[in-house]
Amino acid sequence: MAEKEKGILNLKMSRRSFVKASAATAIGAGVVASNPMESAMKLLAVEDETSKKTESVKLVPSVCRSNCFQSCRLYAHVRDGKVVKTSPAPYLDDIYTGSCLKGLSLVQRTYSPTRIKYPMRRKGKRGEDKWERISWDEAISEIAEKFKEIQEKYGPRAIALDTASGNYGLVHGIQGVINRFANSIGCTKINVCYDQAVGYGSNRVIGGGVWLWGNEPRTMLDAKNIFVWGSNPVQSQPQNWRILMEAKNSGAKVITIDPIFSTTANKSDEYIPIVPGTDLMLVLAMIKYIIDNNMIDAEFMKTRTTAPFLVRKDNGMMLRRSDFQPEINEEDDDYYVWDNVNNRPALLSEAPADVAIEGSFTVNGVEVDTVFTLLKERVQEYTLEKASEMTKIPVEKIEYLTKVYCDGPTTIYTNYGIDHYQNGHLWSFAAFIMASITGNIARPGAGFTGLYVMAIPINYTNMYVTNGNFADNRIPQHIFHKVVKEQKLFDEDYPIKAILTHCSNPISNFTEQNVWFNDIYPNIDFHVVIDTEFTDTARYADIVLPAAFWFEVNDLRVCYNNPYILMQEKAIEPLYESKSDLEIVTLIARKMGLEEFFPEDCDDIFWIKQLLDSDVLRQMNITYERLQKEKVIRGEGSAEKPFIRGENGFFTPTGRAQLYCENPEPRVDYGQEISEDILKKERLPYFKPPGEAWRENPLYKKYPLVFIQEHSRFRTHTQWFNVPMLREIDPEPLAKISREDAEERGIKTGDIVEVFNDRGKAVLKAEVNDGIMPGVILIPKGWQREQFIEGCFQELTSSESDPMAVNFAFFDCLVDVRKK
Amino acid sequence: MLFSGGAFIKVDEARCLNYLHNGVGCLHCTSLCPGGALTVIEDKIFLEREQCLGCGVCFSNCPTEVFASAQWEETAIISEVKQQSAKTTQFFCAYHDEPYLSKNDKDKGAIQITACLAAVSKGAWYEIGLLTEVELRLEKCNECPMQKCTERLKYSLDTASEWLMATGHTPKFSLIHVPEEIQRRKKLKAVSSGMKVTSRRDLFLSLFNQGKEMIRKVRETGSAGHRNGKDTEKPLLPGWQLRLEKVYTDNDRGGENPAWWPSILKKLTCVNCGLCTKNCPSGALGYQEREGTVYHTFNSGRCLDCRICELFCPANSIVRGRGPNPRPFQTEMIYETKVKRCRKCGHQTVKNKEQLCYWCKHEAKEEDMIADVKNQLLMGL
Amino acid sequence: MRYAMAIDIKKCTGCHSCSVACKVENNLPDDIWWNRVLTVGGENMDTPMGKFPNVKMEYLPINCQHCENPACVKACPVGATYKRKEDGIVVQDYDKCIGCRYCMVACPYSGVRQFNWKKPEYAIDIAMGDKDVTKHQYNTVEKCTFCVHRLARGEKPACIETCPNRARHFGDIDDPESEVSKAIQGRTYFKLLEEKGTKPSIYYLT
Repeated sequence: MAEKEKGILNLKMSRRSFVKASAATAIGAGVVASNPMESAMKLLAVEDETSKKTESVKLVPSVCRSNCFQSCRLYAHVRDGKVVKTSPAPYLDDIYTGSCLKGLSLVQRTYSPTRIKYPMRRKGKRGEDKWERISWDEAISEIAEKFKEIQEKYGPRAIALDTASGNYGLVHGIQGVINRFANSIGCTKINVCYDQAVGYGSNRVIGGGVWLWGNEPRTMLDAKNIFVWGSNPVQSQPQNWRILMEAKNSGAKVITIDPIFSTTANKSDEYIPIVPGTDLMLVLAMIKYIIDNNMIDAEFMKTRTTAPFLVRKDNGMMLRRSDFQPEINEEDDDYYVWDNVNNRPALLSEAPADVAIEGSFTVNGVEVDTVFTLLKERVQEYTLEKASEMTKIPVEKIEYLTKVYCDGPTTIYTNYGIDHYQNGHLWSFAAFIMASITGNIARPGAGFTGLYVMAIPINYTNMYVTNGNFADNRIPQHIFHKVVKEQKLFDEDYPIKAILTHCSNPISNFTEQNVWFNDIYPNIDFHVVIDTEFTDTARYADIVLPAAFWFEVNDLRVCYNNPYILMQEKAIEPLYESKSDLEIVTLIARKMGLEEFFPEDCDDIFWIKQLLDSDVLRQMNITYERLQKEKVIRGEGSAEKPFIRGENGFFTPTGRAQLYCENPEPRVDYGQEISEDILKKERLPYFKPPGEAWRENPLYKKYPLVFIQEHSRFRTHTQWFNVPMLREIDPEPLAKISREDAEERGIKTGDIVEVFNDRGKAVLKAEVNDGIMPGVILIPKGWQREQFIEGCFQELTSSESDPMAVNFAFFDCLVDVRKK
Repeated sequence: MLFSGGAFIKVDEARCLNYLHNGVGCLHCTSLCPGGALTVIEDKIFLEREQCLGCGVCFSNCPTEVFASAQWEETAIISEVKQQSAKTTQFFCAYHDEPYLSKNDKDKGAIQITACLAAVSKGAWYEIGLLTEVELRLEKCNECPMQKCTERLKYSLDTASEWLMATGHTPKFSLIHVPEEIQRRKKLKAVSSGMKVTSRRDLFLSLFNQGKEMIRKVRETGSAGHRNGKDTEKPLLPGWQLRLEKVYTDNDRGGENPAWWPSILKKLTCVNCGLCTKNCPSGALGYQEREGTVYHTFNSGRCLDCRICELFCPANSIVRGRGPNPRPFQTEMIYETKVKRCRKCGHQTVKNKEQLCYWCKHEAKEEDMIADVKNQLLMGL
Repeated sequence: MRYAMAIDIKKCTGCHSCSVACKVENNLPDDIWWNRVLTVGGENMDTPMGKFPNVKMEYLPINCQHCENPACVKACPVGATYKRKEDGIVVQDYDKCIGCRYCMVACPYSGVRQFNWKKPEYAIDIAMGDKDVTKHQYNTVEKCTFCVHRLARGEKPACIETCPNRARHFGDIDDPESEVSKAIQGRTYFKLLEEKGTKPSIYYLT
């Protein structure tokens, strides 16, 4: 029998009462009596409960800052001090509100494990990709010391600032404080050499410099026809595409002209395949057809263009009053036109009732032609047949295209596809002329769009001007490697010993990648890269500094492709040890003795106020206070009426579209030699074949495929190259080959192939794609070297440039492909 | 009754077969509950405590022991029987005030249970039957609201008797309906023996202390040894069945007629998806792979007779039944086949031409879906 | 009330913004996609069919069709997937799911149900998206929930609001004034695999 326990029981109790008692005490002993219905209620109500959970999420106004040409406004959703999500934030005109898969995936970019956390110094040999962590103090000291040393020994220009388009924002981006620094130390600022051709060509016609050629995208809603020519907005500008599509759904006819059956061509009403680099011939033939068939808008030409201006036969210059009266002041000078009513020459200011647009005349003994006559003469050789033969577009089709174009208002939607051939600027020169002679510009629904940039008079002076020094921006990117290799710019000694890379990934994004390894690195001592990830360029640097990402700074943004100015607010603190661009530049500058111009306590808000500090801006009601309050304000145009370029006159001396360029000058004069003949020829558009990608090029026999580096929707240049979720959808680079070319070479989808030419190679997987024209091969750009099996796509391109446009010609490239 | 009003009863709904599998339709507890306190709502079992009479029938009859209580531990009863070591032991419920009926019963062992006698499982009766002759005091059952339980009690005793005989023992269970009568049943031999006087105090103390032990264990570990359905470490067997495996096998002296136990047949159409084995709640089904052959095994004594394997089988290859089995706790091999890995997902599958497992073979194909759309969208191309 | 979605195939450009928005909103583990965009044309993504230049392709965004007569609900042996009576959303209960994948076999819409073959892994350390999203579990099936956590707050599913082409519409198909009803009005449309009799709730506008 078990030992009796003492003291637990009341011995006098009867058994029954004991049982009851034990029951009573045990109930209090913590046995849970659950409500049988509780589970059922919980089951049915589970959604309601979760919905009532209060979630303290802050929506911070922000913006996507890459160079995709969209500037999408975003909300950064911040919870517990972390950005957990992004979503489109509203614009004043709802049609501009939106984002894309890249903007929506920014959370994974912000917190990517591949993000650079600390300053790093190269350990082994350059390119070995071995790094050691150093402190900020160490890094800044070393950089400042080396920079000072180099500048003392070789001169201020021995440091080259390499900046591109990685980050858009007026303080922390490429337009920001880095320029203040570059100017202060008087270094070399490598002249940006991409996407310049279209604007260089349009500038000859409508002025405004390289960037002010486009209408606000909303103008497409008024277009009758839209020619998508040299662009793939479905992939590259999805927000613009939305507007284009709305125009299409309202009845606009959309025609895409492209060597590739792009995703845009897929959605267009018509697709016109064209041989790469021959767009110039097409537009010249169209101009000839227009002129020959009198499809011009004579009224527009007479009043809004220089068509009636008289050009001297002897020297090709415009006939001016000063030709006969050399003593008059410049402001009193004027152009001559031919008064058609009274049949005599007249000054423009005399405003004759009707002017001649065609004709050759003699004025005071000087023989002249009208500008239009010269244009007409110039295009005579560009027959439909010739164009058809070259472009492989049937004659009837070219006729049809021209007729459609003239049945306006027609907008040409373009970006920098055609720009990427050496003859690109001539196409744009010709296209803007074509628009001008048909009245398809500066009117609702007509003109050009694809890149719309606003002319807002931000007070850059406050930011850029310091001690009177300025960066020297003579050296264009495409010959940078030559200068570094020889340490000379033609005959001029030009030592370059250090490079500071900011918002740039030149090894990936500039042509002829191998020049970095062969020419540049062997000849410089020091390379500093400021970035958020280890890009191709960062892997070869000496010191890499971690930059704060977009959500980690305040900034001001003047958008492009929409008419707004935005305030971007800081959502989270810079992650790890990263610092904002402003902070990094300030630290380096101060260490180099520039404390006066880089005060320690000036944060990004201070600089935003500086940039907005101007009477002109205040008159336009563009102020910091207003931006602080409203976050997004309109810069140009209005809710009712989108901004139309040139509506009230162009940025030219006469306000008219110039169909003739008196004094063509190269875009950048870095000492290149250009013959007089060429300079003269450049006064009007003419056909010049692409530099390399041309069937008459002997190289073509060896390398019969034109290599086009497509812009994919998964990346903007090299940004987003490593975002895990995007890599899940788009895991590897592909060489997209036409069925014909693939069959000829025995290549099937999935085979490993080598794309090669004399400059380099890329080894990757192949994809047979029926949307590719035979004779063309595509590799989407943006993939980094380590993502290829061997080599890299950018090894293949050439750094040759047209001497006038001074521009990278990425697509002007011949290659071949073989199975590996 | 200790458990009246549902006191101390814990309901682990995740162990309920209805919760684990649609279509099982297990209504053991709901049909047996004399108070009608149990209902299944949307596959979950609910206990309405106000209706509960506290009989404890659900403890012993749920195949996966959904119902348990810290105060209810059958091994305490068996230990007490062992300790009393009486030739005959009388069992009665809490409604009996007097443990002894007559002076003759003083030599007998006496066990009072704080619930209905039907709360004792058939496995426990088997264990008790090995130790002692059993008399059950049922004279108060006629007046009791839980009278319905006597049927179940008799069923448990029948089963225990079957097992005792199958293992070569003589079952001696007597049911006492009126104090004077001793009822004889065909299979039972009633033996009347003297009653052993037990101190009432000791009796309840022993049970109460066991209860205290369980309460402490519950507070510390958060469970009385019960586990949740999905994360359950198999098996979902009731305690008595777990014990039975050892007790039955150890005490098997070989009887004349083997008892009836669950049986299974696997047809050749089996696709080796493994779902029967994976989802067998009690771990009666097993699966071994050796050198390209899989062996399916079955342990009848662990089977709950839930038929989930039959319900699960996508190839209708399982037939469940009952039949005589002299060694129910011996794991038998019931099926073997050569296998290779699915070329898509790597699962071991029956060798078939396409070399695809059940899912990869039957899952909808993307090409079919796209083909359906292609015609509509790209017509005229 | 029956929730339905309308996807305008004419507007869809296959950009994958909806896929990414869904992935972020629901903090989907690596390799799990509830919303995918398929190319209808050539064999690979963004390849057309035909002979150059007469080629064409379309895009098919696909997620759980939240059928009115769901094949998955009938197939589930444990009742882990069921159709809510109040709004027609087909729910997947991860706690109940035992990973048998019968639903994946029963569902005719390839790939809309995704399986966690391994313990959910996440490329970054922080949990993306909404706090109210159910945590993902190893060995369970998961799929589009019509962002039920957003609906409870009166918001539309994430994919609807982030489509840059405004090609996706959502709402109560029983209400003629809802966004989805209005989107379908006057348009031709098709539903996927209608002959299977599942009565999907996604309308593809053509």
